[in-house]
Amino acid sequence: MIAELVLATLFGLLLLGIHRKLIARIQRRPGPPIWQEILHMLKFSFKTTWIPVTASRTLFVAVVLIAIGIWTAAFYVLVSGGSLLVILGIYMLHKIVEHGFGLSSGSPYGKYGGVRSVISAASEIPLFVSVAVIAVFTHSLDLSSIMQYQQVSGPLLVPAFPAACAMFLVILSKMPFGPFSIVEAKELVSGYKTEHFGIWRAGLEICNGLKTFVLLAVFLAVFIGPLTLPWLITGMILLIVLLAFSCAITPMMSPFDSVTIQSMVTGLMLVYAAVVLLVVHP
Amino acid sequence: MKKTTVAWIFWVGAGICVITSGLYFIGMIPLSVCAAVLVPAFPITVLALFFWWMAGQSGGDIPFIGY
Repeated sequence: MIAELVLATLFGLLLLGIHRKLIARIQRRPGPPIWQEILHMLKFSFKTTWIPVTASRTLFVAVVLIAIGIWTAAFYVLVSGGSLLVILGIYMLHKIVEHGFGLSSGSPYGKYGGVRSVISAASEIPLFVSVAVIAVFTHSLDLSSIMQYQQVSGPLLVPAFPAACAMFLVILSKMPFGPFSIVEAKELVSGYKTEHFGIWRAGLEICNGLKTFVLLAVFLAVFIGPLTLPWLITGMILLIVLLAFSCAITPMMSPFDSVTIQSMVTGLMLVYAAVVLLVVHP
Repeated sequence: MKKTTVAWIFWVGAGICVITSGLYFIGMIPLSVCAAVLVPAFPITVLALFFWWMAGQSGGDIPFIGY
């Protein structure tokens, strides 16, 4: 299982590289090679590293370990076909970890990044209302049961298309250079991760690779169904292409606009969930 | 932390990860036990590996706090 974990991390980093490359090509820039994120991770791991004197030493190191640990756990929940709620819980934990990254460093940029992480969590997490629609259709929130349902009844992408859009928005919120990436906005240098350099940043890159892999795989499992490995890889690449287009053609929003738009979508999703619950599947 | 200590942590962590995965592969332990071991062991092993490669021995620095 360690081999699968390492491969998933590397593939997640490769997907992030494809994401960067596509954004660059859409914006008529050459862009970095698609393996740039893997090189980034290796580059940071070879940097001389220490802990800033203003940092809370324990938290500064612990958040890196926790960030990798929680997405390792999410990977195994995905592999075992466990509960979707656990993965969403891990997503929420990640927001707290981002906050910890920012607060532990002692840098004002990091702190603002951490605060923005909490602000964005307040509008991203309610988007999980889309999960209620999945439960209405499948009568379960286990990934294995959701996939079994789709084997019999076809992909949920068609009947639960608005829920898929809401989940896509959640993933888009976690992608770099996206319209909702307010935690990493340029006015905050690198946001919550400004002071995490060297091996700490390399650890964060590993977390990002795993997170990307898990989120895309969960989306495909929930809305497309069980896939063989070649189709899973193809589906993830297609999803990353869609995400890259969304990121490339939309400007990064201000925190206020980001929260407003996500909250509006949450409102629409609540109406949709109510309609599904009361009318379609009473 | 000394580099030799970090190297030991890496080799012990890597050993635990490989042995646990091997035990799961031959069916001696369930996936839940394998995951319970790998969730804490994997991050520690990764950071220990990076530290072993290039950890500095110098003290802390004052972060950039703006102009």
